[in-house]
Parts: sequence; structure tokens; C-alpha cells
Amino acid sequence: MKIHCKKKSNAAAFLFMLPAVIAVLFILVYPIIYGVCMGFTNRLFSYEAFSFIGIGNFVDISKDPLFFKAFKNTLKMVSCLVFFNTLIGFVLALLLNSSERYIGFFRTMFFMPWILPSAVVAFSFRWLYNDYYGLINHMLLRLGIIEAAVNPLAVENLVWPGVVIPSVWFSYPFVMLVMSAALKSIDRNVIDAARIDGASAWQIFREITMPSLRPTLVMLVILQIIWEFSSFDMIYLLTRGGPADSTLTLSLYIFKRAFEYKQIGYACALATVMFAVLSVFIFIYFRLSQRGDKDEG
Amino acid sequence: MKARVRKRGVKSMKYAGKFMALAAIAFIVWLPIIVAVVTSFKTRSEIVTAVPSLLPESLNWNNYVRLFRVMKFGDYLMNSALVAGFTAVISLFVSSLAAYALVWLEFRGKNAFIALNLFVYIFPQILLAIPLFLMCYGLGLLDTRFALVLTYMSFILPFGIWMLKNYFQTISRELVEAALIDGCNYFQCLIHVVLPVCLPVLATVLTYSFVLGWNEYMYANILIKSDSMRTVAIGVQTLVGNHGADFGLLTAAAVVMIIPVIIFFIAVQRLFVGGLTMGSLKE
Repeated sequence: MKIHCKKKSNAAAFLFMLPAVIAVLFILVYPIIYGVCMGFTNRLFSYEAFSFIGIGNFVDISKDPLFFKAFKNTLKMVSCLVFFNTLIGFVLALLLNSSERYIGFFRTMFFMPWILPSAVVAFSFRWLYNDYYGLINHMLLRLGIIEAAVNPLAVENLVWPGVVIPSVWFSYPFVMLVMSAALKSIDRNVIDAARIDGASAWQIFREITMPSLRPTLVMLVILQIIWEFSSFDMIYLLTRGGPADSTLTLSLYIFKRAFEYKQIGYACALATVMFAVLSVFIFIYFRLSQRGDKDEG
Repeated sequence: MKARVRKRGVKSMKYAGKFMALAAIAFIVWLPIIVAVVTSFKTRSEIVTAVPSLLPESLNWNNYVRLFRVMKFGDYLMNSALVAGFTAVISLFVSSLAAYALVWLEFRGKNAFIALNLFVYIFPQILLAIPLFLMCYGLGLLDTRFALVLTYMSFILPFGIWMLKNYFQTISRELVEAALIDGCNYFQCLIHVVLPVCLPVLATVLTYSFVLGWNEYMYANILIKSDSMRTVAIGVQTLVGNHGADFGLLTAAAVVMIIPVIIFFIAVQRLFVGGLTMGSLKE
């Protein structure tokens, strides 16, 4: 009887899983393998014929100054975004961690940027930045902070803040959301007990709040590194990597090689290198999430 | 008594102070969107002025009229709705079947599939873009809405499987077993017992999947070439190119594009917020 049940269950499981397995194999696993293989070819999009050239692309990458520039820009971008996202998200989560009636409204307001379309966010900021009619230039001129209108996205020494601000605007809400949930899960009784024992607010924060948030914080940082390392939309829509490649990140460089220069083989090799770097973080993420499972029992 | 009154006074000051601080932050956060909404109601001469006003002189719908009359913006909206809608529905169907099997059925390779799903969920889309583009090219699907449905599945399906699996795990086992003892087969059990108790979650997953598809930019940008197949996200972008950045038109398009997103979000936000947190920190 039992065996019969199990067999039936197995057959059902097969049918239930079939569409998902086919989809994942067809649109995810196969393309990933296919992409890595293409990295070892000299394929161009404009020609049908191509041949395997071994590690040729990877040798070229190791001598490609633009690759190193893009890599450095990516590291810079990831550090900026992870730092500011975490800082702002955490501060807002602390601010929202109380029980006033209006908190729910503000939580919604602060979270909303996360779900807006990247195209809308990018163009809204480009309009704010506009050097002829934009609001920011107008206000800065009026306050006498600057003397001539300037579009931050077009000037090399302003383009970084110009890109980082909208990107952070677009991605801090996730940190805020997760930190809010983590703050809520801290046992109130422990905090009350500490307060009765005469602990100051700062002591409570340092000795109780921070330690219980640490695992969440680590997880969030890893997850953000993985996401921001490969983020594309925002920078592409704001600057396309310019001016003079000063905001060219790896994902933009890959995109340019593939879809502007049509060098599919070289672009896939670049993507493979990027994946190799990222896989370190993906591995850490997996280890941490498995440990989290065990802790829960 | 006096001390108590004073304490209450301090408390309500703190209450008001915090409210003001949060309101100020909310204003700063929303400034780009507020400015876009205001701009969309301005006339061309109001927009192109050295001294921008915060409010338009009067509500001027001209930008919106032009958007739908002159541009093919209605078509773009339709394409986005079709692509995002189909993707969300197919993904919900496939992922509820898979989540049911992952939670209540025993089979080999279950843990492997769960790990694989997590892996592809966090796998960077930009690295998938080239091979998926080549596949669509090989299958002759370039410049079709079907290509978008196919590629959007690559990030929406893992998300759906993950969310539903996490939620199904919270449903009591007895409920499912009782249905099976009553003679339901697994499929009937899913349709008549499991799905009805998690309708709000299904709505949330469906909505969020739709929004992901609606907002998507990169794949639409590389897979779609002809004007009649464009989605809203790249439609907005073409307004910049062809018309020398007519910001009245552009901001009107932005407002039209975010209206459904905001409506959907407000409708499902409570559940959505819980589900997303759950999904991101636990496997």
C-alpha cells in the first residue's frame, strides 16, 4: 500500500514538475551553458560562420584596457550603491520601527520607488538634471551655489553622483523592507528587560539590536553585491557609459560588445569572466542560506 | 499631575516631530515623480522657461492627447499589457504546479531543483541576454511578442516558484491530506483545496509578475525592432530620440506608464511586502 502510494506520488510529481523543469532547462540552463561555450568562439553576429578559438578571447580580455576600466568602474559602482543603499535603507527602517498610526503610510511611500519602471525613473531624473529647464539647476543657480547651469550626466567629475543618486533612489527600498522585517522579529521582552536593568538606548542598540541584525545584514550585502554587480538599466538609460567611458561598467561593456560591435564571441567571454567573479558571491549566498535553514531547525 | 501633562506634551511634540521628519523625507523621495507629474500638465512654453514653476498654470491635458493621437502610445500599452499578462498567467500556472510538488510530493532531485531555482533566480540577467537573444534569433522569434514572453519567463518563473513554495509550506499538512483521503487526486487537491486558501498570495504573485514584465526594459530593447511591437518601456525611450526630448510628452508617457504599477501595488502591498521578505532571506 505504502509503496503503491509512493509510486503514484512519483508519477504525479513528474507531471507536476514537468512544465517547470522544461522551462528552466530551456530558458535558463541551456542558455547559460550555450553562452559559456560561445565565449570560446570568434562568432560575430553579422556572419553565420564561426570557429572555436580556444582561450583566445580570454587572452584578449587580459590585454583589454577597457575591460579593466569597466571592471574598476563596476567595483566602484557596487561599493557606492551597496554602501548607500544599506545606510539609507537601515536608517529608514529604524525610523519606521515604531507603532504610530501613520507609519504604514510612510512605509508605502518609501517603498514605492522599488517597483517603478527603470525607464521612468531614469527619465524623471534626466528631466530634473536638465541644464536648460531642469529644477535642480534652477534651484542651485538661485541659491548661488553654482554659477552656470550644468548637466551632471555630461560632465566627468559630476557624473558619478549623477548616476549614484537615481540608482540608490531606485534600490534602497529593498534594504529598508528586509531590515524592517528583521527589526520586528527582535524579541521586545529582551529590550524591555534591558531597559529595566538601566541600559541606555545606545547600549540596547549596540548590544541587542545590532547583533541580532547581523545575519540579515550580511545576507543583504551579499545579495546586493550580486544584483548591483550586474545592474544594467539605470546606467544605460542615464549615461550609456559616458562621458568618455567614465561610467562604463562590465554589464554595459558586455552589452556594447554584443549588440553594438556585434562581437558575440568576445561578449560571451566577457560575460563568462563576470560570472566567474560573481560565482564567488553566489557561492557565499548559497552557504549562508543553507545555514539559515539549519538554524531554523 | 503637572509632570504628567508635561510628559504628554513632550510625547506629542515628539509624535509631531517624527511625522514632520518622515513627511520631509517622503517629499524628497517623491520629488522626481512629483516634478514629472507636474511637468506633464504644463504647456510647452511653461516647460521651456528659465524660471520653472512648481505648479502648472492650469491642468493642461494636451500632452496626453498628443501622446495617444500623434504617437502610437496606445499600441505600446497594449503590447506591454499582452506580454506582461501572458507571462504572469503562464508563470503562475507552471509555478503553482511545481510548488505543489516541491512541498507535498516526494521525488528524487527535489533539493537539486530547489537549489537550481535559487541559482537561476539570482543569476544576472545581463549574462543571459546574449544567449537568449541568439536563441530567439535562431528560432526566428526576433521582433515578436512571443520572444518577450519567453525571455521574461526566465526571471518571473523562478520568482513565482520560490514565492509559492514558501507560501505553500505554511499551509497545514492536514488540510491537504484530508482532501487526498476524501478521494481527491493531486490535481483536484491543488485546484479545489490549496489554491482557494491562498488566493491573496496568488493575486500578489500574479500582480508582481505582471509589474516585472510591464517594467522590463533590457530584453525589450534588444529583441524588439519595429514600432508596432514596442512595449511601453522602450516606447518612452523613443520619445526622447525622435522628438528632441519633448519633456511634456515624455513625462506624460511616464505618468501613464506608472499608473497601473501604483494601483496594483497599493492593492496587494501588505501581502507582497511580507512575501518578498520571506522569499529573499530564506531558501
